[in-house]
Amino acid sequence: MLTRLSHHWPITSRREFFTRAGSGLAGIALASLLRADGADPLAPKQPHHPPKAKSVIWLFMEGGPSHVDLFDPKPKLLALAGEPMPASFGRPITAMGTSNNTLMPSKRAFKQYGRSGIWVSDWYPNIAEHTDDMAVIRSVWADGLNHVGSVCQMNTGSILAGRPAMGAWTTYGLGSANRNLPSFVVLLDDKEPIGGPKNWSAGFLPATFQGTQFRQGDTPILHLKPPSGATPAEQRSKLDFLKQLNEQYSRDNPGDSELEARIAAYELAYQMQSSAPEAVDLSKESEATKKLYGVDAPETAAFGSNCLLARRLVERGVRFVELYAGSGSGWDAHTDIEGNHSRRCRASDKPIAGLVADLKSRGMLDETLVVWGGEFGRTPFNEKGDGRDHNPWGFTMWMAGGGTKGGQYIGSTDEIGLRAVEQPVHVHDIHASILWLLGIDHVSLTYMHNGRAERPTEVYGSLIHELFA
Amino acid sequence: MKKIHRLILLSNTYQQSARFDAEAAKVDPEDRLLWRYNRHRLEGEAIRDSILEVSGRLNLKMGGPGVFPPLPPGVVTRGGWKTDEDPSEADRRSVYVFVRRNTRYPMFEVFDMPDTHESCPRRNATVTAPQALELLNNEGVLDWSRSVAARVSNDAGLTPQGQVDRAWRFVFSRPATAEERQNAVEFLNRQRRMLEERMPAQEADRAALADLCHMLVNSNEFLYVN
Repeated sequence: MLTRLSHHWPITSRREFFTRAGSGLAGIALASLLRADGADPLAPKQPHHPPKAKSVIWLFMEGGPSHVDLFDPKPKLLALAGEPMPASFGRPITAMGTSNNTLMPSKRAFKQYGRSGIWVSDWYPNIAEHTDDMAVIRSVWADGLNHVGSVCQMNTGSILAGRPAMGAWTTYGLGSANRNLPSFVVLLDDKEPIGGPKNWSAGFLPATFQGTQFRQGDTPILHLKPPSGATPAEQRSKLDFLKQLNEQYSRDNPGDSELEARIAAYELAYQMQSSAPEAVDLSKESEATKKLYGVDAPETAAFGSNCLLARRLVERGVRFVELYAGSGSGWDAHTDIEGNHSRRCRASDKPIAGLVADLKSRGMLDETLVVWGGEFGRTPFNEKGDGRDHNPWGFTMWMAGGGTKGGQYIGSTDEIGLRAVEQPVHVHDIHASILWLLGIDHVSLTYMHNGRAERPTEVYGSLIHELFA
Repeated sequence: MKKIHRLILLSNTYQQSARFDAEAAKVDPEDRLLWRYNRHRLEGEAIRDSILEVSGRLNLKMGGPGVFPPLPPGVVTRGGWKTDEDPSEADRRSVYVFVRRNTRYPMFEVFDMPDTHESCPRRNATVTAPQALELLNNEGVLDWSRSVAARVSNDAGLTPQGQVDRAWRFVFSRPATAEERQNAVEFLNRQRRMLEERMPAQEADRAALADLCHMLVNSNEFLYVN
């Protein structure tokens, strides 16, 4: 590897000696393979099993969307409206200490959609048209009470910072599927998400695998244009001269793959200069397509553009695109959930529905996994009369495409939507399943760090088998 | 500890260069037995300092508060980065560049400066395309290269061979070989012809030499410690 982390493990026991002696030949083959890869950490690698999905588009509703107002209707809440929560549900400790507050039914009208009859509220009328493609997981639970830890966990598996994001693990495990763009891209529609770049960091993995945050506007990546008006011919000539210098140096200093990798990196950089601006140029898209994503309307333009951009990136071989909707905790409706969620849903409903429809009509949905969710849901009891508090004990996420089985529910919450009761699905299980769809076994993918073979799901995670088609 | 340090530092093993040895490589291709020094790339901070040093611009002023060199267009800082008004402050050593938790200096960041939110036991040394873009297209790096070129032409007069030799001595601390001199002079001529299409001849001379110096500070020989 390029990291110079050559791990020498001294043999400490008789058992280890025989284990290693037995795997000696395989070990040698692996070492040489690693060295071949070492020239380029982004070279495509063999998945553990045939993948169902080539790419992931993760729609991150940051701040915590209310499942009981969107996908998980609770008639019981209406019956208990204005009453304190019965003791039988178990009183949780909440972020804002609201669990003694009275229960608040949803003001939304719910309807069943599609052949599957999945319930969706009137806040998401466009997304509702795609229920037959959606696996709606109503029993997700997470460990964090507050945003920093919870957003971090949804990205990295841990509420404590410092671990690699799933997009980084994916690139580490599979390499890049393209030669002229980053493999893991992050798109924001507003402010920086809570916790910032550590949510797409490579953690202890080599930095090559970290997410690249595209800037809004026409400078998606820094330094994409040659300085001082240099022409392409001038630049090519400079690069040819540099290549000459570096190749001479490699001849004088043979046996160092890193030097070769640097020569290759300059060629990739040269390619990116022409490819990246093209990839982010939405002007080539038809008016009908832009309309489908809501690029033409002010309220949906920001997130719609990002959804359209995500499709263009996936088409060009980007493996992992993470799009924040309401980045900077936009969904965090401690008060006025009606106003907040009305705005958030309007801004994201049409873009997301457009994305799913567009992927489907282009035949891309089969190999593109779309993931929808926040870092947690919201409580069935009120906060300040018209808001809802954080709820990590039971909330909804859904997935579509990429080898998932649509038109089904997985798991459920209790009668008021406070806790996952049937088939609880932890964030680690979500991660394990997403990686599985990409062809990665979350237990086998490891990276040596501080003497420990670290894996994406720490020591947890099990596959959600019902999810897979 | 001091004694152990002395023992290590004075050992033959520690003082080896990264020179390749085909026979040793056959026995121990991964250098587990330390038959040569493991060549390493300069850190982002050292890259910046080194280019500034060969440009003759490195400001060695000691002490005082951190400095805020200009950031490339496109970096959003939300007011946390007040670029210094005195331009010579921008050429201070990298150790004085302010470390803001939410805005890492982009050149350091791209060359593996660790995340400032976490503790870091060991730096990675990656090789990525954005690093190439940073040294290739950053207006600041080209500006430093212009200063290298100015220093070269001040010292070496106007013959291209003399300029190449001088540039090699500044950047690589050794004279150019005959082959390198020839290649570099060819590059200067080729580059000058292209540049003359969009600028006056004298300016094109300077720009071609700056391009040469720019590529020298991009080269593996400059960026790696043997």
